[in-house]
Parts: sequence; structure tokens; C-alpha cells
Amino acid sequence: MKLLTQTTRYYFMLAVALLLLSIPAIYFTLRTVLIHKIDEELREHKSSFFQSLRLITSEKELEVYKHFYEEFSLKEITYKIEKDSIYTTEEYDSSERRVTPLRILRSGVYLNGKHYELLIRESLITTRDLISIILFVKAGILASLLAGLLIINRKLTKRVFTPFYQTVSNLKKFEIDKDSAIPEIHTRITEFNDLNKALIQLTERNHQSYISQKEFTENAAHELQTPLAIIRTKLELLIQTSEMTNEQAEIISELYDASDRINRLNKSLLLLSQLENTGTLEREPANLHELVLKNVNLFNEIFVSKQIVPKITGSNSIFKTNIALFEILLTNLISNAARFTPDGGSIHIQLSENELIISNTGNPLLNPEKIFNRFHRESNQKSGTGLGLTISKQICKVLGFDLRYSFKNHEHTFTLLFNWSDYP
Amino acid sequence: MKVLLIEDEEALAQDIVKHLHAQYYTCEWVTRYTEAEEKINLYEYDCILLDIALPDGNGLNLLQNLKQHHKMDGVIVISAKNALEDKIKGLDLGADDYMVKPFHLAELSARISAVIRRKQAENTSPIILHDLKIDLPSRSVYCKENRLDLTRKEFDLLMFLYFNKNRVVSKNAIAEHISGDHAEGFINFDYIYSHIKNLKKKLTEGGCDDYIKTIYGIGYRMEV
Repeated sequence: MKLLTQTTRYYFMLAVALLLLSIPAIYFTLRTVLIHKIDEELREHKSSFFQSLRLITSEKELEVYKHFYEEFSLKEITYKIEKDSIYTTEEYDSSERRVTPLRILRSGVYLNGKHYELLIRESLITTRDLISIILFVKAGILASLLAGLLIINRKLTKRVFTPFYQTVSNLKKFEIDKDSAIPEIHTRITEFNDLNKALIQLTERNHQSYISQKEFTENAAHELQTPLAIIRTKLELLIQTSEMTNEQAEIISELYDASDRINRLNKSLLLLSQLENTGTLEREPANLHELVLKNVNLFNEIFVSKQIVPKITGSNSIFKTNIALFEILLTNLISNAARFTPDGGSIHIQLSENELIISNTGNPLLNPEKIFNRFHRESNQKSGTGLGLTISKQICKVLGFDLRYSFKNHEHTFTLLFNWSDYP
Repeated sequence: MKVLLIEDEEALAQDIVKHLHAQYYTCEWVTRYTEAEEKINLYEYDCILLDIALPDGNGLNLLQNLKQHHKMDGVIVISAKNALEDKIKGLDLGADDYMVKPFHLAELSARISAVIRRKQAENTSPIILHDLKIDLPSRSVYCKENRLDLTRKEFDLLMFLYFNKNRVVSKNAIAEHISGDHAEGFINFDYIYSHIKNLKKKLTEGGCDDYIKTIYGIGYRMEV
């Protein structure tokens, strides 16, 4: 949920709750106040009535009085009303043709030795109308306030949040190997400015350390080449010298193997760092079937000695790619299959227009998620550099392919997706 | 045979010189671009070993220079960079071969021999080695007029040993030579042993002496 929606939702909830609560609160308060006022009026009427009563001496006069003051009604009763009471009632109003609420003060009058019931009435209709008008206006104000709040909130926050969204989208677009930092954004809002500045610093530092790490690998591999070459040539000169004992020969042989290993490792590291630096590559038409066949043939001896007959199926395809890199990729993947398929196992290579699938039998891996990591080895087999699949993955990145690994039914499967649709 | 080595790394250069001397090459060695330019303009060489990264200039310019003056010297570019661009540029400018440091000296000898043979006018004549006759262009080997049926790898192996004749060639250098750059992490000496065994068998069956001697634990030597 957006921050904007979240905050607006709380505002809105509060406003609605207040509105709903305020309506009955206003209603009851207004009503109480108004009725209180009316009651006071009724009492005043009563006292003025009693004052005028002193002037009335005859029944006739009383009738005249009653006639003039409609709100008074006087009825002869047989008992004495001890206490005044005020109550609300409803009555049919013939002139308005509807039931109208009334406030009535009931009091006792003793006149000429007779007990009368005095009712002073006051219509509540105006009060009720007043209350509803007030409530209506009030509700209108509140509703428009709410709507205004909502609109302002939306518009304002959208405008206010623009730099934030821009920073986020810049961050999404940031590529550590290409951009030095995310671009700067100018805004008056301190928080977003701080955020943007902090992110600029962070991305800049990351880029710097990425570059220096890359340079380090490349330089280290380069610097190692000459001493390695010297070790190798010295060993070669050493074996030319006079006869050696078997013991010496074995030591030299082991030195040879070790230097070869460092060499391969170094070459792989160099290749890896070069792949990370590649710019645009030349692309030539490549014949998939031909290249696969050529690379499978490189390992024929191994297949024969392991009693493996690689099966190549599917339809050929011809596409433009960088052949040198693509061949390294194929060699790596096929050599991987050749190396890890047990004797008598099977290797199946499926070609198609959109993908190349290389699967081989074998036991499940302990850490399949680490398969593309540098120097990750599943077995303690020492001959590999531990960089083959890392290089493969990197080549795929450079060529725009995708490389995936899966294990199913005792088969390791590498799927190379060409992603042609991604090409411009 | 005259070889000019242009290499600024002293220790490495000295070893190469020593190695080439042992193979009866006359080897001159310079460390600077300017010295190299002088030598190239003054003399003719059968083969020039050219390091691209020189302290006072790019070796590729020397190569360009050489080709502009239509010199016939064979050139092998040596580079510490495995960069594909350098390789392509080098070969485009007319280099005969390209090697990436570090390399086996045996490999270097084989490449120098191949370059020189290609450059020489008489390179069409077969190599005669006692009873053995090797015809390079057709890749055929005769032993006392019997044609030997060698596989591609056996032939490569024989040539590699021949170009390094009378020297010990390590099994590592052989493995790398036979399987090429593709052997990334896949050195298995068993295959070398079986190739050698088959080659020796074919040579003796064809009536030749067993030229190939096994050096315990290290490799082989072709003795002629």
C-alpha cells in the first residue's frame, strides 16, 4: 500500500468518525438547549397569565382571554394540580395538515372557587426545523471539508512525493558496472534531499569498490603471469639437465602439475575479468549444430573411455553471436558434462531455435544453489579451476543469454536460453 | 637459424635464449622498442618473437613497420594479455602466430619451427629422419617407404616431439599442445600415455627404431 493511501486513509477514518459522532452530539445539545429555552418561555407565559388572571373577575372575561391566546387552554377539573409539569407531545395540526410536536406546560389554576387545568402549549416545529437545517448545513460543511482534504492530500502529496519516486526509479535503473552513481535530484524537501544524497554517496562508493575489485583481479592475474612464465621455463630448463633420480623426477613432475594448475586458474581469472570489461562484441553467424558437434568431438577420448555415447537431438539453428565466446561457453558446458558423468552414464544435448539443453546423469548436488559461484566445488576433484561455470554464466550475461541449472530424475540439466526476443 | 627475441622481462628472456641456444638457434635478445627497430632494419631474421607490451612502445607498431618494408621475417607475437582483440589485431597485421604467456618452451620451439618451415622456400620438401619421412603439407608419415596410419593426434604428437628433438618434453606441455586451449581444467595424462603408446607401436611396427624415450615421471624425448 502506498504511504499516501495509508495516511489519507487514517485522515479519512478520523473525519468520518468525527462527522458521525458530531451529528447526534449536535442534535442532542441543540435540542436540549432549545427545549430549555422553550420551557423558560412557557414559564414566563404562565407567570404573565397569572398576572393577567388577577384582573379577570368573571368567567366571561376568561373566555375572551382564552380566545385571544390560543396557546392557553383552561379546563375545569375536580381535583387540585399540586405541581407544574412540562412534557412533549404530538398533536394533529389541521392548518399544517400534519402531526406536529408540542411542548406543553401543565399547571393548576384556582379561580372563583373552581379548579382548572391550565395547558400552555408551544409548537416545537420551528425548533425541529431549525435543528435539521443546522445539522444539514453542518454535514455539508463537514463533507466538503473532507472532500477538500482528500483532494488536497492527493494532489499535494503526489507533487511532494515526485522526487522520492524519481529517486526510487533512478535506484532501480542503477547498474553497478556502468553508472558511477544515481543522478542528483533537486527538491525543497529536506528528507528527500537527505535520502538522495545518502543514496548518491552509497552508489558511488559501491561503484568505486566494484571498479577497484575488478581492477585488482585483472592486475593480480596480469602480474602473476610473468613469474608464472618464469617458473615454467625454469622447470623446462631443469628437466633438460643430466639424469635425474626417480625421486627428483617425481618432485619436478608435481611442481609441473602445480604450476599448470596456477596457470589455468590465472587464465580463467583473467578471462573472467575481461568478460566483465567487454564492450560491444562482434557478432557473426554461428551454426549451432556444427559448433556443438565440434566441441563434443574435443572430448571424444573421454567419452570413449567412460563408455558414454553423447546423444544430440533437435533442430539446428543459425544465429548471430560472438563465436569465440560462444565456443568457450559450449566447451565449458560440454567439458563439465564429460567430467561429471559417471562411467556408462548418458549425455543428451537438445538443440532448438530458442534454447540448448545439456543434460547428463549423475548424483544430486549438495549445494545446487551455489553451482555458479566462484571456486565452488561439489567434489574434491582437483583438476578443475572451480571457475568454469562462473565463466559460463558471465559469458551468458555478455551475450544476452540465460543459463539455468536443474536436477530431475537423476539428471543434471543446464538450459541455455537464447532470449532472442530481448534483442532490438 | 636466426631468431630475434624482443622481450623486456629479463629472467624470462634469458631462459628463452638459453632454450633456443640448446636447439642450435642463433638468438639475439633486445629489451627496448628502439633497439628492436634498429635490429629489424639492419638484419634479417628467420623468426621474430615479439612481446607487445614494451616499456617504450607498442610491439604491434613494429609489426606494422616490418610488413610495410615487406620483410619476410616470420613473427610470433607474445602477449601477457589474453585479450582477443590483441590476438586478432596481431594476426591481421601479419603475425604468423600468437602465444599467450605463460607458455611451455617446448610449445615455443614447435611454433618457431613451424613458422620457419612455412617461410622457407624448401618447406615443401619432406622432413627426413633416418628411416622416417614426414610430409607436412599432406600430413603423412612414411617409414622405410611404408605409410604409417597415424591419427590426427598421433601426428601432432610426433611433430611436437620432432620440433623438440633431443630435448625432454614434459607431459604437461604435450597435453596442452594436443588438446589446445580447450582443455580448461581437463588435463588427463592417461590419454597422453595411450597416444604415446600407440605412436611408438606404430613406429616400431612400421620398421623404425623407437625414437621416443620415456623420461620417468616427467615426459618424453625424441632421440635422433
